[in-house]
Order: sequence, then C-alpha cells, then structure tokens
Amino acid sequence: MAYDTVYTRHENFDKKTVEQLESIVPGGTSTKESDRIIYSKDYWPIALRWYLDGKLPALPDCVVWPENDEQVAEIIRLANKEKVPVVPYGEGSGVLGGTVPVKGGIVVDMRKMDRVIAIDDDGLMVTVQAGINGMNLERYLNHRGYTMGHIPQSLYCSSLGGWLACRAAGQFSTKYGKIEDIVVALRAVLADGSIMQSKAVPRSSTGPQVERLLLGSEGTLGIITEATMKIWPYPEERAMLSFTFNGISTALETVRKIMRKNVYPAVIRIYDENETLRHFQIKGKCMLVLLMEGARELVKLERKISLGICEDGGGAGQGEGPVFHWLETRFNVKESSEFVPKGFIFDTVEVSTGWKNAPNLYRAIIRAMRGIDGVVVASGHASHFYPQGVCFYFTFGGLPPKHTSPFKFYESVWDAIMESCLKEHGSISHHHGIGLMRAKWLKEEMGGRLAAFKKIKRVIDPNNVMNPGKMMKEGMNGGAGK
Amino acid sequence: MKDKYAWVMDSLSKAPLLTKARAVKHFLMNRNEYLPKKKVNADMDAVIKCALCPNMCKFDCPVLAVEKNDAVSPSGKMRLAYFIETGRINSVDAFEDMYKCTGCNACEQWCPFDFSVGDLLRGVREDISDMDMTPPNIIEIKENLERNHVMYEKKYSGNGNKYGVVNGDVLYFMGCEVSSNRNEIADSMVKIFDAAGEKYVLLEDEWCCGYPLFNLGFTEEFKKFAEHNVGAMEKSGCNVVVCSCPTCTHIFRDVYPRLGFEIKARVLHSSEYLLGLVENGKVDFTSIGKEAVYHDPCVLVRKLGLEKEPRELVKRAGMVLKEAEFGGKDTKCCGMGGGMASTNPIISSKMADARLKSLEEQLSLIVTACPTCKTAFASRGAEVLDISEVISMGMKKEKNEGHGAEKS
Repeated sequence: MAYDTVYTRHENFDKKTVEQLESIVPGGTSTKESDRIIYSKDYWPIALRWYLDGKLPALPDCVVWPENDEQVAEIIRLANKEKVPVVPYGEGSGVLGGTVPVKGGIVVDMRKMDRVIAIDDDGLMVTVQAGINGMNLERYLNHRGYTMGHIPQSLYCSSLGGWLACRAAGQFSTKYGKIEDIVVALRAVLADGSIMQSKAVPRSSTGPQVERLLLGSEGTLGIITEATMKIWPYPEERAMLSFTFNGISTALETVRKIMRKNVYPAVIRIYDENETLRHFQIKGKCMLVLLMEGARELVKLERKISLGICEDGGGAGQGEGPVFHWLETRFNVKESSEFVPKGFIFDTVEVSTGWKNAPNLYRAIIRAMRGIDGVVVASGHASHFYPQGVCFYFTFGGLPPKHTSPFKFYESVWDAIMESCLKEHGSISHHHGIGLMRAKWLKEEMGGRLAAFKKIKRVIDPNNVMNPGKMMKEGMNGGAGK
Repeated sequence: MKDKYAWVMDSLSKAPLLTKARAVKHFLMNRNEYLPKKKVNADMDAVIKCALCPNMCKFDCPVLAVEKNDAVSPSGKMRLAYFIETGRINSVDAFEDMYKCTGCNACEQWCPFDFSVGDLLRGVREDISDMDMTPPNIIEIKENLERNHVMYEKKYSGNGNKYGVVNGDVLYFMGCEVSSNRNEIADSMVKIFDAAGEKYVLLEDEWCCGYPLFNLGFTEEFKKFAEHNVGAMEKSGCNVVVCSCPTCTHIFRDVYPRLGFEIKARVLHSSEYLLGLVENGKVDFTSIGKEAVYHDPCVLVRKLGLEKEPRELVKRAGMVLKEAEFGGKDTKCCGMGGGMASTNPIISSKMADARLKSLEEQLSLIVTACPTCKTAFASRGAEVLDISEVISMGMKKEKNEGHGAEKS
C-alpha cells in the first residue's frame, strides 16, 4: 500500500461484522481495496490536494449498499451491537468532509434506494427514495411536466438524501426555497434502528416537528431513506434581465428593494468586481443577473417590477446575454481540475446575514481572506436572497507559504473567514453544512443550542455510531492538521 | 487566454509581492506537478483533471446506473487510474474496474473539458498491459480475436453468391455481430442492394474492425487488423464501404486514419447509405403502418452525429416512430457497448435490462441502427428491427435486377 491516510483509526473492525453485513445485504457488501479508496472521501477540496500527494482522508472498513429500510435498520442495529461507526453516503459531493469515515467503520451507500414512488399531481408532491441522484430526479420530473426547483451546482453529482441531511440550497432558491422549504415529509431510520415517518400533509399542529431534526443532522442521528417533496408544473415562461452596478452595496440595496415588494425572481445573483471580470469579462463593475419563471402573466409582472427597481437603483441594463451565459456555464466546475495540479489550494465558503449588515460582512470577509499570507484569489457573490437577508458565497485560492503545510494554509483562511463572519453577526453556513471543516466553529455559531443538540444526539445515538466525529469540535482532532 | 484569465491577473495585482511572484511562477510555468516521471500511454494531465472533478457526468453513466458503486463512476475510475499510474495501488480489483466502461460517451457531453472516460481509459489499459496486469478474461478476448480474426463464430454463408472481389462499387462490411448473430441484417442489406440495382461485394475474409483490441489497450495488435481490412477493401475495388455497425464505421472513418491506415473509399453507416438510396429514388415504399420506438445507438449518435438520418429513413418507409424517454444524444447504452458483454457480462446484462424496460414503456416494437444494440434487446425476447430490415420490409417492389458481384 503506497498511500497514507490522514486520520488514524483506533477501533478494530471484526471481520465477522463483514460476514454479518453480508447476511443482511447479500451481495451488497464490499471490502475491496478499490472501493475502500473511493469511499475514503467526499469532495472536500483539501482532500483533492491530499489525494494528489498520495494521501486519503480515511479508509472505511467496508461499504454496503442496502436496498430497503429494513436492511438499513439492520445495518444500524448491527453497528450498535458491534460498536462500529456508520457513515451514510449519498453521492459524495459534500465539500466539508461530512462523509469521510474518520473512525473507519461502515460506509452506507444509499444509491440502490433511488426509486420514484409516486407523483401526486393534485397535491403537487413527489415521493421518492432518498438515494436518488439529483439530476436523475429532476429529469424524471421534467419529462413528466414538473420541476422541483432545486438546482444546486452539484445537481449532477449529489443526492436527495444528501441535500436533506445538509440543508442544501439550489440556484433557484429565491423562488422555490431551500431544501427544508421544499420537503413536505420524510422517512428515516434512526440511530437505534427504529423507523420514523412523517405525514405528507401541508401543515400540522401536532407537537414539535421531530422529523425536522434530521434536516441538517448530516448523518449523525440517522439515515433519511425517503422523502415527499414539493413539485411545480414546469414553468411556462422565463424572463431574464441583467445589470451592472458601481459597487456591490448598490446592487445589494437594489435587490433588497425587489424582495421588499414580495417579488421572487427564481435566480438572483450579484457578482463582485473580480467575479464579474471572471465570468463576464467586464472590468470594474458588479453584475446582477435575474431570472424569473413560472406562470406567464406573473413572470411578466415580476420582470416589470424588477426592471423598474434596477433602473431606479442605477443599474446599467446588459440584456439577456449575461443570463444566458450563466445558464450555459453554471455547471462547468473546472477550477479544481485546472489549479490544484499546479499547487493552488481553492475552496468556496457560503455564509448568510441579515440585510442590515450585508455590505459590512462582505467587505470584512474579503479583507480577512486577503490578509492571509499566500492568498491570491479572494472574491464573492451573493446568490440566495430573502426579504430578511442574503447568502454570500466566497471563493479563495492561493499557495501555501514556504514551511506551511497545505492544510495549515487552508485552515488559516477558513479561520479568518469564520471569525469575520461571526464578528459581523453572520451565520457560518448557508447551505454546505458543517462536516469536519466547520465543526470547531459550531459552538460559537449555535451557542446553547449545541448543548441541546448534543443531548438529543446522546439519547438517540447513545453508542455514537452515526457518523461519529462530525459536526462536533473533537472531529477534527487527530488528523487534518498533519 | 488573456481574457480568460484576466480575473487571475486582477487578483494577482492585489496580492503582496512575494505571493505574486510565487503565483506567477506556478501559473505561468503551467506545470502539472503531479504527472508521473516515467513516460506512460495514458493522458495523465486529462486523467488528473477528470479525477479532480466532482464527477459532474456521473448521473448519466450507464455503468454507475446499474452498479451503484462510485468506484466505477467516471471520475471514480480516473481516481483509481491516477493511483495505478503512480504505482500507489496494485490490486486486481482496481485493474478490473478499468474495464468497466461501455465507451458510450455519455460523460463527454457533460464535461467542460470534453473528456470521454472511454477514451481516457484506453491509455490506462495500455499501461496496465505494459505492467502485465491485464485481467485474464481480457487477455482471453484478445487471444481469441488474434486467433479467429472475428469476435464470434462466423455463420453468414453469403447465400452462395454474395462474396466477391471483382469491382463491386459498394463493399458491404458486415462486422462481427451481423456475420455471426444477426444474419438477418445482412440478408436485408443484400435484398436492398439487389432491389436498388447496386453493384456490391462482401469480403470473404472479413476480419473484425479491431475495435475490441483498440479499446482494450492492444494498439499494436489492432494495427494488424487495420492493415488486413484496408488491404482487402482496396483489393475489392470499391468506392463506398457500407457498415451496419456504427462502431465499425467510426473505427474506419476516425481511428484507422489516425493510426496511418487510410481507406480510399467513402465509409458510410447504413443509415446514411440507405437514406441516399431512398432520396435518389432507387427504393420505393409501401406504408408499413407500424409504430415503433427508436433506440439511438451511442456511437451512431454521439461519435458519428447521425441522429436525423435513421429517423428520416424509417419515416420514409412509412413507419411511425415514437421517441424514447432518453433519445438522441441523451440516449442510454444498450449494455453491449465497449465489448461489455464479453468483458463484464453481468453489468452488461443489467444495463440491457434497464434500457429495454425504458424502451418498452413506450412501445413494444423497437427500431435501432446497430446490430449489437439489436442483439442486446432481441436476446431478451424483444421485437427489434434494424433500419435495414424496416427498409427491406417496406420496399414496394424490387425495382432492378440484382448485380451482386461474382464470387471470386
């Protein structure tokens, strides 16, 4: 074995456990070296550098592919009996190390549970198994005249279960909402092997929404196996607008006014000067792109209102071209492939804030990134909007200074961003989640809520078998600093 | 380049001097620090780029769709390939995974770099062969092909008088699947040639186009097949080579010339050739009056770009075509692409089941334009017609006397 692992495991995995797993999921268990290598990581950007250097984050002991709830439950029951970790795996597109099996154990790939169960046309809902790939679900819906409206950049390589477990957001979220707004009901196997199912009704008043604990739990409480999601008739009309502004504050102020009108374009994106140059080759300006979709008359009206506010706000109209360009290139993810082999370290960090502090937070984080020795690229855009505030999506890239390990450099930029975000009263993640990379900041983010979450975790998962080492500060210890 | 990286230059202008100097050095030297030191056949720059991608094409990979294992996803295979090429792994499992690809090119259409994992794997397989680590079942395929010159036992008899070498204008290259398992396609083609009054010839000593060897990383062995076939084609004196198999067409058109084997005659897929006959009025039709769902063969639609031709042809024959849920360039592999039926029969079988189920949800009668696709579905009991059979079935009458070349 001519490769290393970043995290060292302490547990001993009994071979008999594999035999028992094989009896639960006949033909659906693997301990092959090639499979263990592939399931050693997700899309955590620092792991790309490690991989090129011949290092894997952590090897699982085995991978299983259950086909139904009962098998998922039995796997979890076995894990409790043997005290071995269970790491749920959707499509492995997470960017914070959330599916890295830091303590080894069983990676549960949910992909065999990918069936669309039913479409309820009257109620505009689809019930589907959580292992389904995002694009395959959206294509299925599109071919039948619907959309779910959840189109993250990772659409092609992420899963419904992963979206729910991380509280994901798509590019069209300003209209359709984040995944927690789209989900109606879900079914999950909890950490003790019991099955929980909520009702596919629009609203209830029947006690706390316990099932919602699973949203954002990142596999630490159980495995989501099925969900009922809102869908919409495929939009009959789309309208596109774009404007350039002098400075990001003016653009933000303009969009805030649109949101105040209770108008929800599906896509709103504001790029700072550097990203406007990067994506649209326009220097010294901030690009705003707007895409409205839905019923024809409504789209027409949304366009009219948005156009008026943008013009009043000093925006210079750029027509539909930039929006088409964005539509055509929005899934081109090339930067890691192009720059990581040249020694650059890249990542993106998304945070959210209320309107009042939005420009300050943007400036503080850009300044914080630039303040780290070795950072070359520090840019941002705003891409999910609410009447209450906005999500900023920052990109950094650079070269570790001499005598600084890639991880130390990477971590120092992250620390700078997180510290600035908290100082400026932002929330440290809008939709990528916590995983390993943000774990040490969760206490400051959640305050007393983290203690409550830990208590809940201890009750539901007393043996700490579900995705151990994630979301909690102790997760990072013992590995990534290498 | 200047415009594309203006944002990088803009960023650099804001960076401190030392950082700027180091970044410029890294960026302008444009060096991939991770390429293996020794010379390899694989395009390692592309392998690494693909391996570092979040796997943006994976949803459309037919192998992953049935295997559900990221190790055989497009980027997954490249991640393993990087470890193989850099000597970090040496396990049989990883080598075997390098052969789990149909070469359907679905990945290419979603790739910002226009990579086809099927193409990238070829170099990796050449390197595996150089390491003497080719899996035994792959070696067996190669040896059988070298011994027999065709993939399967040849069964087509040529109906007694259809082989020849004397100045046929049209050479009909059957390909392994037709000569062995799909003789009815050759029969239909011969019937059409006769009806249209074409002067045609079939090669008595037709060898496989060599695709399996090329695809599995045996380039030198492949060249022998190219040399034989090009020689035989020239000897036939033909002006046009017509293939029923999209892969043969692609290999003759695109791969032979790349390796220095030029075919002087025009190479046409049967859909192009037959449409030409119809448009030139050499074939007339009665209306077949049947409805069928059309299955786009991957190589035909993605490598040869022939999407409209087969549809137009079938329409002219009076058959009503219904589109598959995934048609045109969005088609799904029949399961037998890339020699998967030989290299990985279980995966191949699962893919065929999946595609057939999806097609049959539209209609029970399937029309396609690839003999291998036909076998994938017909061997599962489906009613499948090749485009040549549709034409042969719908021809009004035999307009002309046949001019099949004399047997040499």
